[in-house]
Amino acid sequence: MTRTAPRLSRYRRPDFLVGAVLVFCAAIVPLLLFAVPGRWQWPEVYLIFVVVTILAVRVVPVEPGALLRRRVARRTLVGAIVGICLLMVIVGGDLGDYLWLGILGLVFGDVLLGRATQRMATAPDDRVDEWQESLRNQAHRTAYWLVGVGFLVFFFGTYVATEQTRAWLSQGRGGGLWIVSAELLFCLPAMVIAWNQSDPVRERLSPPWHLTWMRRATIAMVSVALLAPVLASLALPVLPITTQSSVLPSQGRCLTFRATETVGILVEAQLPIAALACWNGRRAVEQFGMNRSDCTPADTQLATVQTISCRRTVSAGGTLRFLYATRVRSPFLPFMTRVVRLRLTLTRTGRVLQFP
Amino acid sequence: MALAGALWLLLASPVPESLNGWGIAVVLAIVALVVAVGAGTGWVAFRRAHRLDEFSLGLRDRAYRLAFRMFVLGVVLLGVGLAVSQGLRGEITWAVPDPVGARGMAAVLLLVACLPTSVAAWIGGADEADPLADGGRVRAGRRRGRWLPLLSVPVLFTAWLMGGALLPVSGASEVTLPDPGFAMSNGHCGAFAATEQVARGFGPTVRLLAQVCWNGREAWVINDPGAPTPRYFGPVSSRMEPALCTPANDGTDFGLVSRVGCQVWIDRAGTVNVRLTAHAGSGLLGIGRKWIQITLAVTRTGRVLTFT
Repeated sequence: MTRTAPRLSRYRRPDFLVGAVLVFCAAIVPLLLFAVPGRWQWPEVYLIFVVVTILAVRVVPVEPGALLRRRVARRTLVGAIVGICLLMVIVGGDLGDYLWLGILGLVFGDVLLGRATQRMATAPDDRVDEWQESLRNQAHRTAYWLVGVGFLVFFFGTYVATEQTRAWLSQGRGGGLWIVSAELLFCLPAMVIAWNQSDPVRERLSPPWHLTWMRRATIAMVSVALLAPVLASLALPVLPITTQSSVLPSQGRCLTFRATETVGILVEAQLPIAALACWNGRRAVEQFGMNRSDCTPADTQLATVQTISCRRTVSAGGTLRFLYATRVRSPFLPFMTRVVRLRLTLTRTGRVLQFP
Repeated sequence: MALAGALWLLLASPVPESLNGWGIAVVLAIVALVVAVGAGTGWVAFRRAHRLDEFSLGLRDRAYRLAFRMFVLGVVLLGVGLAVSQGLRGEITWAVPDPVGARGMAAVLLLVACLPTSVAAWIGGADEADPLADGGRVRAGRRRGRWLPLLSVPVLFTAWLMGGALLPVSGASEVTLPDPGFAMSNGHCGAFAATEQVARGFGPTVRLLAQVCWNGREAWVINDPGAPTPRYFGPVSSRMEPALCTPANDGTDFGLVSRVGCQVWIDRAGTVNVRLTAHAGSGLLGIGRKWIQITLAVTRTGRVLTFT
C-alpha cells in the first residue's frame, strides 16, 4: 500500500510566509545590524540583498513550464525582449523616469528567459549532456557574430560618422543604450538558445524539484526585493524630512549657514546648503553659496531630483531671501514625488528670520 | 598569446594615460601576433562547418562560447578602466563628450576580431586545432595561403596613415551656460569646450577648455593663471585645473601634438579672446602633420562672437 502526501499541506504553510521568516532571519537581520549603527546606507543594504537574491535564484533549479516549453512562446518572449531593447535605444532619453519600467521589463523577461532555457547558457559543464553542450556552443557562436557585427556597424559606425552621432552615443540616449548593451552581452546566448531549441522542450537539465525550504526562501527573497522599492516609493511623500542645520558667526558681520535636508528611505535624496551672508545695516548680501551652481543635491539614492526653484533676492528693505526648492521623484513610481524647500531669510541687521 | 594579451591590456588600461603616439604600433603588433596564432590553427574559428571534421567543429564552437565570455569580461574591464581613468583625471562634465575614446574603441575592435582565433589556439593548441595538419599531406599552397591575413598589418597601417592625411580635421564644440563648476554673485559665467581631431580621433586631438565670466564691463578667463585679470573686477583666484589649452589627455595615443600655443587677451571693448594653435601629426615619419587652430571670443555681455 502506498501513501500519498496530503496535497493540502502545501497550502497550509504558504510559500511566502514560510520563506519570509527564513529571509528575515538569514538575510535581513544581519544586514540590519550593519545598517542600524549607520555603517551602511539603506541602498547599499538593498543592493547586497539583491545580489544575495540573485545568487539564491541561480541555485534553485528551474523548468520551462507548460507554456515556455513551446517554441512559439519562447520566440514571442525573445521578440518582446528585443522590442523593449529597441524602444530603449530609440526613445530611451525621452522615456525619462519611465526608463526604469523598461529596465524592470527586461529583468522580468530575463527571469522568464532563464526558465525557458533552464539557464543552459551558463550551466556548469557537468549539468549538460553532449547535445545540450553542442546547442549552447552553437548559440554562443551565433551570439558572438551578432554582437561582433552589431558592434562594428552600430558602435564603430556611430563613433566615426559625425560629431553629432558620437555625442548621441556618448549620451547613450539617457542611459538606455548602455543598458541594452549590457542586456545583449549577458543574455544574447540565452535568447539564441530560446529561439533555436526544439518544440516542445523535453530535455531536463536537472532532477525534478520539489517545494523545498530553499525554494520557499527564494520566492520570499524575490518578493521582498521587488516590493522594497515600491514601498519606499509609496513612503516618499509621507516620511518626515530630517534636517541638520547650523548657523555660525564668521569674520566681521557675517554668518555661515549650513543645512542638509534628507528625504525618504531607500529612495532618498540629500539636499545641502552651505552659504556665507553678510550685512552692513543697510542691506544683507550673499558672499557665496546661493547661486544656481550651488543648487545641486549632495546625494541621491535611487531617486531623481529636479530643481524647481533657485532664487536669491534682496528686498527694498535690505532683507536677503534665498529659496532652493527641488522635486524628489521615485524612478520606480514616477508619479510619487516630494517637494523639498530650503529657505534662508536674513535681515539687514543680521537677524535670521528663517533657516532652513 | 600572452604577449598579445599583455599588449591588449596596455591598450585598454588607463595607465599610462597616454601612449605618446605608439597606439598604432601596439594595435599592429597585436594584429600580427594574432595572425601568427591564427595561421598556426589553420583559422579554425573562421572555417565553415563542412570544411571541418567533428573534432575541429566542436573545438570551434567551444572556442566561441569561451570567446563570448571573454568578450564580456573584456568589455567590463574596459568599463572599469574608463571609470578609473575618469576618477584619476577628474571628470569634466562640460567637456565635449567622447564615449570611450579612440583607444577604447580600438581595444574593443581588437577583442571582436581576435578573440575566437586566440581562444581556439589556447584551448586546442596549434596542432590539435589545425584542420589542415593531416600528416603532411596538405598542399604547400594552402599552408602558405593561411598567412595571407598578415597583409592586414600593412593595410591597416596604410589606411591609418591615409586617414590622417586625407580626412579633414573634425571639430566639435560645447557651450554650457551657466558654468556648472563656477558662479559669482555679480557676474555670469559659462563653460566653453572644443576639440579638433585628426583621423576621427584615431590621430591626435587638441582640446580647449575655457571657463569665461563677464559682468557687463568686460569678459575674462578664470581657469588659466597666465590669463589677464579683469580691470574692473580685481584679481580673481585662478583655478589651475583644467588647463585652458592642452592636447586632450587621451588625444596623444595615436599621434603627437607639438608647438601648443595659447594666447588670451582682453580688448578695449572688454571682449575676451582665446586662440589655441598647435601642430598635430602621426608622430611617425612626420606624415600627415596638420596645423590646428581654435578661437573663442566672448563679449562683455556674454555674447559668443566666434567659437571654432
